[in-house]
Amino acid sequence: MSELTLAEASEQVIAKLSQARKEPDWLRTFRTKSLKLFRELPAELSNLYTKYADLTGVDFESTSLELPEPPRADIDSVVSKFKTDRAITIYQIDSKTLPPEIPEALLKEGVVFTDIGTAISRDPEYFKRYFLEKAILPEDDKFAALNNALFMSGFFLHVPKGIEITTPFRMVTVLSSEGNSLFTQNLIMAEPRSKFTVLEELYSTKLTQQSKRSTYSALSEVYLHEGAEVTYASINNLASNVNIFSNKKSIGKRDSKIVWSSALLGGAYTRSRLESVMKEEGASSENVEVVFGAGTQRFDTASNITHIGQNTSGHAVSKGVVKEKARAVFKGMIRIEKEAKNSRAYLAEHGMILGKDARADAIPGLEIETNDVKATHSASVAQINDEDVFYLMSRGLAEDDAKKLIIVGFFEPVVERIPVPEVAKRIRRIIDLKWSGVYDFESYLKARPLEDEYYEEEAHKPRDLFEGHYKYR
Amino acid sequence: MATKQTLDIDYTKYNFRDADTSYEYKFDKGLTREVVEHISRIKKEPDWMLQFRLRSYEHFTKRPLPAWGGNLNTLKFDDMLYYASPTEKKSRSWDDVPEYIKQTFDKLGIPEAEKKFLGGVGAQYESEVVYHSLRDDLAKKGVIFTDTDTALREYPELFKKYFSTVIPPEDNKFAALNSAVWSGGSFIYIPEGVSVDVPLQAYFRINIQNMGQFERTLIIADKNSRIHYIEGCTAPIYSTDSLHSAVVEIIAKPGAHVRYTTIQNWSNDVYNLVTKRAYAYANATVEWVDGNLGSKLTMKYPSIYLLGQGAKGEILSVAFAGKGQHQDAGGKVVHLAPYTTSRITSKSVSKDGGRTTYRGLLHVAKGAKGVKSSVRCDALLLDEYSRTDTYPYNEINEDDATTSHEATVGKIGEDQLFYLMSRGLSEQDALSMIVMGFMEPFIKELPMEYAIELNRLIQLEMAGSVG
Repeated sequence: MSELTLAEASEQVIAKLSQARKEPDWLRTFRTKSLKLFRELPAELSNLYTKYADLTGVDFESTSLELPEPPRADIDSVVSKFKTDRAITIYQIDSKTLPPEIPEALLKEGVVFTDIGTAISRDPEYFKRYFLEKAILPEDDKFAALNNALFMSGFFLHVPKGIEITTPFRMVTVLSSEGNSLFTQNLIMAEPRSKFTVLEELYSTKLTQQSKRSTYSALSEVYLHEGAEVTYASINNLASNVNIFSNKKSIGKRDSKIVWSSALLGGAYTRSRLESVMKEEGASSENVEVVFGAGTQRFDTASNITHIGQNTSGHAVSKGVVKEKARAVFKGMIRIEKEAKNSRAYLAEHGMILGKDARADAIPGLEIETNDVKATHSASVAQINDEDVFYLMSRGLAEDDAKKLIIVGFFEPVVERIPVPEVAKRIRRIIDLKWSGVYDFESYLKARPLEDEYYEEEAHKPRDLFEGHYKYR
Repeated sequence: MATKQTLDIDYTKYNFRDADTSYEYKFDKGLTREVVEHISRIKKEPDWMLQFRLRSYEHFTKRPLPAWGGNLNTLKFDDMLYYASPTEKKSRSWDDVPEYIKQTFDKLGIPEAEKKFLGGVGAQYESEVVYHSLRDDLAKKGVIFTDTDTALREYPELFKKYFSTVIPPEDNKFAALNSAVWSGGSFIYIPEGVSVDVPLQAYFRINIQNMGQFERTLIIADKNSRIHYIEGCTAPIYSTDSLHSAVVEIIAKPGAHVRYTTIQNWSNDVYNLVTKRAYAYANATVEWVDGNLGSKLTMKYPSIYLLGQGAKGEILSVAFAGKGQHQDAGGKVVHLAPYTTSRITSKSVSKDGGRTTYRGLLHVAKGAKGVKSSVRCDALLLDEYSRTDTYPYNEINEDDATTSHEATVGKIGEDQLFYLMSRGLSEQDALSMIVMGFMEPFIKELPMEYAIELNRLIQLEMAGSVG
């Protein structure tokens, strides 16, 4: 297909793409309906946030609808760089998806981990039912609608009843990001009492001078059945020419638990929406999110906690550092519905502003419809504590190193939750380099790891961010 | 029990006549350009004020209703009377005042004279006598304390210099409405270095209605002056007007200290949509103490613009929402100068299906170095039918600002109740004691007699909430 831009995506274009992929009719209908909603919906559905909806720099006119074919990135070198035997990895390199190597034992148990296109073609009837009542409907959000219309990649992960897997399921995406776009949709089904971890990593190859704006859009849905426990970690380190749209949502049934942790480091403009729904009694959720903005990066994040069932608990922390001219808006909403008695919720948004032209806004909201609850939120903006810097300097560190160490420490709550040690190391290195003003992909891979100096090799148990908080004593 | 009161107060015995009471105009319901022109003509206003009103009216007609906040769908602008002369206002009789309001007055122990005043039956003339000496005292110091209409006539230059400089009609739809049809309110000017020790209250003022539907208050505190103004009162105010839309502007010159206390207790069918804003120049302090107990829907966010280095702002907002009520309150602080500090404290209680909303803004502009600010909002839900929302906006544009925001929502702890009951209190008393303790920071800020009244009022509001 010739180079069509995102702005030119029409019903006909979608129908053609869908046909080329031999998709079922219902999916084509779903896509065209979603596209229509994308066109109709305002950038922000809730009028609480209208003021903050700022899409400058989002340019669909010059962004190609698809990724280059064949991929520009060198597949072998990417795989060799990111290979680890501590995770089951799907690689997504530009338009190319490499299937994972799943251990025989897991296949026997009935674990499915595959790209979403393959999954749909294998069992279209199952997915038809699912698409009718999926967690993130096109009606919910303008850019979720666009993803639902255009998604071409992503993974489907199904873990059967009672299966506990310690090796993380991992998806590594590497984009050549040269004025193109990737729409990806991930779907995770955690059957009763299953327990596993998902790791998502996003990188761009080195930018060239003439790189145009690219678009990356991801939509991830996690369904947790009774007693299931899922950890979902993601690292976004796309290049500075990529506009990022991310929608994540979990639906938790009885006694289930979801733990999200996200590091938002890259991109030109990042729009992230995350919601944990505690649908049934005893469900719980945790969400830890860090943002590191530099240059002219903009971040617009929302982390929402929705309590529907009784005795549910939801916790969220968003932390951000903005330097130079970076801007970040942290939104969040704790919603406790009528039936959600005896629920506990906590939402915190903490920013550190490190530049004269940097800016951070925080809007933590509460909507509480019943009384037998405990809901707390907080927001703060501050600088690096001079006393901390002084202390470290008195121990022999140069001022810049002292500050760097404090910043790396600021992100540690998320980094230490990353389930694969070498990935956690890489993230520390990225933060370290970003502090020093180095943003490109090749340097990340070459640089001397920071943790060789400061961190012990052995993995430690992440600190509990919430139960130790004074509000929970 | 309130015995039957007659309204035949013989005003002649106080030997003063309000010359203006001779005019009587009847207006049709609804707001038109003619009504606005008429209001201005009756008041014999200068042309600039007429033009101002008309400009505001134009803006009002164009401006859409806010899409956020409470439910304004039942608000019918066309069904309203936008101006009534003072004589009309007073033609209401004590018998028209609903029984529950009268009973509340009795329970609160409000003096007869004030009762009628609060009941909207116009007993304010008595107050003139009572507070006469106080007003003399103020006048000697050069303090101007009068109603806003009089101020426009008697101090035209001072008035024109400051009027609407803080809140332009274009600010929002209700500010535009008020600007078009305003009437009454207080005008206060405190000269440089003068400190007014007693809190000023609308009671003290002479003439015309004190509790106007569209009152307009303007307070100018000159350099290093000090003033505390109190608006409203703890007792319920009976009113037949279904919309109250006031505008309050405060200008605190360098070093001035202004505190503005409001206790709003309109009856439960009133929309209370108010715009309040203060400018605080270098080293000035502005404090809003804002209590919302009554009304059907209140939308009110007192704001402070900190314009000079070292200015300080403090907002203390308390809301109590009972059955059918929605208190959408909060506060805004805009830091536009370096080394400014602010604090917002919000406390809300919802019961019987009432809804409280905290909506706040904390904005630190570029160049406002060394800003310190803290925001705290706590909400208490007394039953499972009530609702509370918190929407705080924190916008920080400067890298050395220190700001914090905290909010909690909870219910009354069983163990707290149990403890108090084990000490011999009834469940009812224990409950109201806990609620009063929760409200403590607000009550502490009130002058003694108000604090006592408010305490009694909370006890009344709490009555019957157990079981």
